[in-house]
Amino acid sequence: MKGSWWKILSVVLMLYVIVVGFLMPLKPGIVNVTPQNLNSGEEVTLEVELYNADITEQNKSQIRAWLIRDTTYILQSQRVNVVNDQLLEIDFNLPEHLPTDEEVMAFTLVVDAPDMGSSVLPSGIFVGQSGGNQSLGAEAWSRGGLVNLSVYKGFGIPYRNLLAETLRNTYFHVSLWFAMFILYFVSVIYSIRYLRKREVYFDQVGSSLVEVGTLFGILGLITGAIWAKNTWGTYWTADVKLNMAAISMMIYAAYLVLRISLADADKRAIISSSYNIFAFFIIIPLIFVIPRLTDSLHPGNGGNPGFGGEDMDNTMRMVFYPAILAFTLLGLWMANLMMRYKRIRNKLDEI
Amino acid sequence: MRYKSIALTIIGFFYANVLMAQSGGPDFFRSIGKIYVVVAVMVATFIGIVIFLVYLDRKIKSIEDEISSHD
Amino acid sequence: MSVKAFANIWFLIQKDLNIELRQRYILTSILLYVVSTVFIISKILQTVSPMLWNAIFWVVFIFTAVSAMMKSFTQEMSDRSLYYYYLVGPIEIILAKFIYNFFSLMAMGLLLSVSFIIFINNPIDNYFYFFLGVTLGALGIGVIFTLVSSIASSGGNSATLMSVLAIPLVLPVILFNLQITGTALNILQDTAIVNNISLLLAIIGILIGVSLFLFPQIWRT
Repeated sequence: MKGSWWKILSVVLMLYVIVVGFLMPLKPGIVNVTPQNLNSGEEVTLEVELYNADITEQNKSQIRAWLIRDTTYILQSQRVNVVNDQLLEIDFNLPEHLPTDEEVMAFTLVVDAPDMGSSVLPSGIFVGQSGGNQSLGAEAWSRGGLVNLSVYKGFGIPYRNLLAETLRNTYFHVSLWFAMFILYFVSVIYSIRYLRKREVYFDQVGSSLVEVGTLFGILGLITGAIWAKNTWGTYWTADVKLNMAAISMMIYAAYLVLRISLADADKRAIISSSYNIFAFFIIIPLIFVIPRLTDSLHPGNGGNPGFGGEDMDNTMRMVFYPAILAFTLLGLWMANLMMRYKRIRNKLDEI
Repeated sequence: MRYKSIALTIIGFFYANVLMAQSGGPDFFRSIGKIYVVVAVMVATFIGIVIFLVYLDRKIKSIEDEISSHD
Repeated sequence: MSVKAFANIWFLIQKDLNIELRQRYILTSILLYVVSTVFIISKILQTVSPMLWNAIFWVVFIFTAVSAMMKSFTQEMSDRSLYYYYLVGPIEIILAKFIYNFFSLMAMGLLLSVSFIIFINNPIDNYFYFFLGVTLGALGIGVIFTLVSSIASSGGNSATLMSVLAIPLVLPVILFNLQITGTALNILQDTAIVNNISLLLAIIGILIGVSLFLFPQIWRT
């Protein structure tokens, strides 16, 4: 048991990720608003459906709501009626004019209650007008102010529209890719050592790591497809990041084909080690550079914040970093088993 | 035998997916803040690891057979 | 690098060219391959949109390059050129191969462009970008195929291995080339062209660096 502390660590971390990852609640958020298309000058009642809202007898009367645009144009609600703990009716008295000359303007809905923090629906409300007056509109929309916004008490991960609870997939999907990359990196080190020393042990380790890494990559693709189906609406789109990931997997699929197509052990080791090094240097720009420079739906790329943005806050990092470590260690364990199999196989073949 | 079980697992998984989509409408996966998407992702990851285990199991079995035939 | 190294590289390139010219069937077969493929495409697709033109151009480019490289390497190992390789260092060999393959792919690319223009149609708007795309494509594909064919040739049954290994590796380079020639054909806006070219050059630079490191290791066998 002495040398297997890291295996235990991987299991403990994985348990931590599953338990804490699921137990951490989502902060309150706005799921749905009806109607979403309004006209200026009318009195409207918005039905706002909340998620995970914590409306109690104490803060029931202190709920406030605003329609805002860039924090310069702010309109406070007339009245907030609590239907039940997940449904609000909010009355707005929309001014005659909008602070723009255009026909339609998008506003952000903010709902705030003590201890619940403020929930935001970004650019989800569209107000239309016919023949506006910009200066009158600007004046009418500047009367209110966002004051005394409350802060969410307690642990929680941010509520993102469309994502909702699936934000937790970050712990699995993203960690799998990170773990894959770490496994490939370690395998390249072993491939280089093999080419220098020509000891069959290095090739056994390197190839096992590539095999497990490729499994993780394929799982990354599958989990990504499931996630995409339920947020973007399709399993697969022609997005840069997705294409690049698919190409990387094809490159490593060619590695696996290469290994099974060569019968001679020495030749197989030399060829696959050199191919592995070559492949790794090709997928670095594929996964890390190109998607960042072009427009992409996928978070973390052109025009889309990924890590460090609002998608990932400190509470999520508490689970996300251990998750990467857990998957990496698990992968190393799997590769270790594979390597031991290969070593025995090699010994048997020599006899 | 093992190929069959792997194939059955995969088919069963997709079949369950289709069934859920039909019986609950498209809303089953989207109910309760889409938490079932996370469950599906975890199940997929777990199945992947199990497939790896089955693969390794078969390889080790072949070694065991070889050793026992040596004796 | 000394003058002697350059002389060696030049010598190796000349030797490759001599072999190529002596065995005229390689050149003629590639010529025939290109012309007949393009002819068939023009007969099947009566009208070809610029987007399709761009895609087919690169598909034919890759497959012609694969068959050309395969031929050049299968004759390579059975030849007495092994003796020359004994005399010079591995870095010089790989550099000579890069240069030779680059120029042969460049010639092939030009032949392909001309036959596309003659047999199909000419949607090229910006010739500078187009030939830049072809040049960079020849460079990138040449570098990858050179290393892969050297890997595959040390593996024995090189013909099948070559196509399995080379095509996935070539995809990223091809994606950039598609964008660069796409700009030349006016399919895409030229906003990202400088970005694309510099990224492609960076990738090619990395590939050359890795090849220079890897080839001596492979060469020892």
